[in-house]
Amino acid sequence: MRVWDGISNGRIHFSAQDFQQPMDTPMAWILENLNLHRAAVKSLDQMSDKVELIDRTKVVNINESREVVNSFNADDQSACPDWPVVQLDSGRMLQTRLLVGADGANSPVRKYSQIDATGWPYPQHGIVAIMELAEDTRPVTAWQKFLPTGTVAILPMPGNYAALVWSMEKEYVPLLKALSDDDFTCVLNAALQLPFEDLHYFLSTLKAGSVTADHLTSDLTNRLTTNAANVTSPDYKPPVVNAIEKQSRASFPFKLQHADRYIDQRIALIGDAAHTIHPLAGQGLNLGLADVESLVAVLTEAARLGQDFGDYNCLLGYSSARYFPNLAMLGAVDKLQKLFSTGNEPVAFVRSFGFNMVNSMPGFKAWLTKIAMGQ
Amino acid sequence: MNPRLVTQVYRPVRRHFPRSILRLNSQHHERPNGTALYTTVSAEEVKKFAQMSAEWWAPEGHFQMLHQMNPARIDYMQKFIGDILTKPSPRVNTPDTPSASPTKESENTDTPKSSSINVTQPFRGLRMLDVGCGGGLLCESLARLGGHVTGIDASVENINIAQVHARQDPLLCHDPRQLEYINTTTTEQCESYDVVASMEVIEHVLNPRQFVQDLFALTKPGGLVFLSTIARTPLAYALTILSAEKLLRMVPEGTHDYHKYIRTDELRRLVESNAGGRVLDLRGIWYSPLDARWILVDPSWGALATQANYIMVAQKIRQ
Repeated sequence: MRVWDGISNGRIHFSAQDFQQPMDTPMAWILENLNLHRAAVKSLDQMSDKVELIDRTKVVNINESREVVNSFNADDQSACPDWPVVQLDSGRMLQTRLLVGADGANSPVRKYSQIDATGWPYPQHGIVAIMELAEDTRPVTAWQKFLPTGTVAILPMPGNYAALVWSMEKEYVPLLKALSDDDFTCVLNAALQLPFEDLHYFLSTLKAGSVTADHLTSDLTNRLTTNAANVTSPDYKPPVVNAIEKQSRASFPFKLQHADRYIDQRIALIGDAAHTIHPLAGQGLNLGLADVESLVAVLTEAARLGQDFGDYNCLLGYSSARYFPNLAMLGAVDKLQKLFSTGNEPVAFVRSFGFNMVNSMPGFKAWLTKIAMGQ
Repeated sequence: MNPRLVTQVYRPVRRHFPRSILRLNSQHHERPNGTALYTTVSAEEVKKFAQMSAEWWAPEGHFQMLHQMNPARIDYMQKFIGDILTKPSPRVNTPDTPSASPTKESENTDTPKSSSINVTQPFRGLRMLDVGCGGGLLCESLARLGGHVTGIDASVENINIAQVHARQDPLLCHDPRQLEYINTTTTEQCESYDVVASMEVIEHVLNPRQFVQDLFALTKPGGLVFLSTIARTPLAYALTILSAEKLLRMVPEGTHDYHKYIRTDELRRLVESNAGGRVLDLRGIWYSPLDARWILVDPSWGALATQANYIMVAQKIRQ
């Protein structure tokens, strides 16, 4: 993975070769979400005798059994009074020993269990797209450039394609989304290849609305042509975007959010329901997977020992294993975001120094990589 | 009831027991009254736990430490029951659908009973007795693992709580023979069990010698008796009374009586010279506050390991 400070030209190259012992697993995988979905559905199919998948349905309500079941069950004591009941829009009601909230940042399960979440929105939104790169500039590794307006990340995909995750100050996001595909491609190339001042000039002029987008992009195209002739460091030649896939552009807000607790009696929160994180370090999915791994281990052990695995004291093992590691990662990524979103000269100078110093220390890089890998 | 209210119900109301209970207990200990010659139950202790009975299943209540100790106890029991009472431990489909299920409930609710879980049942077919079962913490786990479990307790309040709670779990109430609770004392039970367990009880009885003899009388020859308690050592005082009761208030003051704690050598003697048992293993069990659970300590830790909470397994010698 190559990381590039867009203000100062500081650089880090993370590589599996940083490790003294060869690694038995790759440093990281880049997967399309669709592949993950397919794999999950496939393995659920294989255990269809144990797992019922209910799709095309919505949860309309979550209640405690004692609120719901009492009305048609005279024998209150047999009704599992503290078990949650999930009501579907089909009218079906599911009563459960343990309700796992894997229902995203605005988790209804978290609201049901009255667990508060604290955090703050970032001034940036994410713009995502699928793009086609020029053959000779296609990166074989993940590629990331830090700019004061936000990070531009390029994640390689099969063929000449790559995924874009561009975090951008939210005031510019509607303007960039309104551009035509060709104009957007031009601005993206400017962000990747030109000095930050050019991008900054474009964004602020576009926002002021005094000059048309067409005029501005033709100016950028000229600058890009001139710049291409003067590329001096073939090592860090930035990718060149040929085109943006039609209809692939979208945007979403970034926020940091952490639930006060992950568990309650018969409740466990995992993934985005428990924590959301700035995507600049690519850790959101990793944290969620680590949650799942931990919760499964806790539930397996509880079942082996005959425990009621929805019980608060059983679930404590999960929350004590995950809460502080997640909090540490949330905090670290938040600091990185703040460090890299400043254009302040002295900070950028020290940052660049730090970049180059880290780049010359393979042992330290290996340590950072291990943390990012969740080891 | 909204969840907020439930939280309030669960959250323990701290009751402080008058110091006089402590004194009363030690007086009883020194001069047991007439009934104590025939029963090991201490009337004051029964009253004390009856007052706390509603707390048994509150997740963060006075008995939270016992809830957290439960997995370690079961782990220990599995280890020895698997080795000694070598019954086949088949993987079975637990009949998750109770025959005695409330029928009205199933009208339009998918109750959890409709699913089936694959559970290993290592205690399947064993007759197990839990003496001083309290709210049924241990009994429920033993029953989920396949044991035919009887829980007895001298306090009728505890038995009521245990019965009500077991009915709230479909895994436990599908077969009434799987788990039964009786309000009685050891001396009134005379059946024979494969496994007799009495966890954190012996430090509350009036006559430990008689109590241990009773436990072995209830056990089949070759069967196992599990006992856990607290050693009468300065370390145990510091941990269980000074820290847990007086400083951190994790359990109500007066829960423990230091003078009734039993050292490991004393318990060994009670088992081996009076009751006809042979101690197979004895090890310490320690609380790990960071991950909120109890761990069984490897005997290689040496003597220190059994200076506070410990657990023991003994086999009844075949005649």
